[in-house]
Amino acid sequence: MTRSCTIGVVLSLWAQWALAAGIKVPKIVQAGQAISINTEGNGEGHLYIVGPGGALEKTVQIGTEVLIEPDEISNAGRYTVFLITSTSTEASDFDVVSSPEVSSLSFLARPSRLPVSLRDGIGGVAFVFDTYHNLVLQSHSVHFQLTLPNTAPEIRTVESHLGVAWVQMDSSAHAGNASFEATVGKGTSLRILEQVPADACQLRMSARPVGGRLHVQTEPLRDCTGNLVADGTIVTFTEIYDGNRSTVDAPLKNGIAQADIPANKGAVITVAAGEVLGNQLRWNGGQ
Amino acid sequence: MQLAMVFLALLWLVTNVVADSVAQPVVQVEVPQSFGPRPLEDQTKDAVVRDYLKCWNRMSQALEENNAAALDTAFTGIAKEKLEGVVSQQQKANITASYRDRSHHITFVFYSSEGLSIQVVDDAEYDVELSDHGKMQATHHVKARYVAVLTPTEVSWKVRMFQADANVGDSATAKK
Repeated sequence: MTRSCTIGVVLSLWAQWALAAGIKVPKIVQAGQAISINTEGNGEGHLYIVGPGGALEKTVQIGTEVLIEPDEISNAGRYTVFLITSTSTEASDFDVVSSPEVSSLSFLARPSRLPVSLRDGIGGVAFVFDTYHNLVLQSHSVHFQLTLPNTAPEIRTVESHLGVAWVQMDSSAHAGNASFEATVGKGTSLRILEQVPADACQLRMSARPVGGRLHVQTEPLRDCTGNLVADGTIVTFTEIYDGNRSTVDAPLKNGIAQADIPANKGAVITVAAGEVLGNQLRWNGGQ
Repeated sequence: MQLAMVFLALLWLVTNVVADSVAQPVVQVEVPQSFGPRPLEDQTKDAVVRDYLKCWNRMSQALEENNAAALDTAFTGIAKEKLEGVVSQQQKANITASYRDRSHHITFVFYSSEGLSIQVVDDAEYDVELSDHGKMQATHHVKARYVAVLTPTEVSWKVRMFQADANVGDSATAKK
């Protein structure tokens, strides 16, 4: 009886050893490459690969090589391999990393409209991807180029970190549509930014009598870099006379604002556009 | 008296087992001095951490139930597309996998100047539980570093990119 039990235990242990399975998985695989998994032991088992990047199941013959095709697992990330037989469970992890070659960019450029000569006014962020839309975590040089017509482009090169490269650039001195481009490897992306004139720089007006009224008019209104301030910008003429204040709002047309106001002798006339104040006149009846 | 003590001991045991199974992950958050370019307000930091942890919960739910709709409130863009693909692969193979996160060490690494992108690095530990045709097969403990990019949406931050970094962390052997 004892001898039978001993033989039974030995046989059972041998069976378990014989059917015990092992797996060998490469630690790192590049996206787009086949994955070779070596299994050890004998018999049949189930191979599972799971991770936030993918999942698959195969029935395998233990002791053979299992080949995972590139299109079965191509998302970069951490995967766990389970090899399960009737008597054992083995597991191992491996990583799929992005291909080092950049295939595309996701480029965010803000804002789409901004005034000229604004320090650090333009922000660009580029996310770098491989062919399988995996974030390329290895560092790459990303070129950002800001170009206005008839002006030399401004170029900045930034090293990406964990798939992200960012830049802040000044808007140029000239108004117009600027092209803002990000390039790395085969990836390129273009955005158009509208650079509009900034606030008025020097606001000056003149006055002359016309009939019984006073015609006030500004000089062509420009920002500090010489761009004509946008038509439609409101200019406010204010007349202070005998303790009373009256205002006239006039839009810019072709850079000039003008209005006709009562010609009160001794009146003080001022002009303003937004927060910019212009010169002041005192009307003494034509003297 | 002895019966009462046995009952109390059993009650304590059950309570702790249940508590362990729904335990919240341990979370550490770090904002380095070099973080930028946009400054990070405390409210934004708290909201991002809250919504990032929610993404783990939603991902686990989606992959445990093979239900891609569970991803809607936490993921967007390429991250959502990829996870939807994983759900589809799992459905095809008749398997499910749950991801019970145990701890996170979240480091903020980038906040874009216009406020539309925040990137975090997360040294996470989690348990992967594999089931085949509804029958639990194995669990496995994983340590991995994840890189995530979140973007603000109507009412919350959503994960737009979600990917593990290679060769960081290790894992324990499987248990059944």
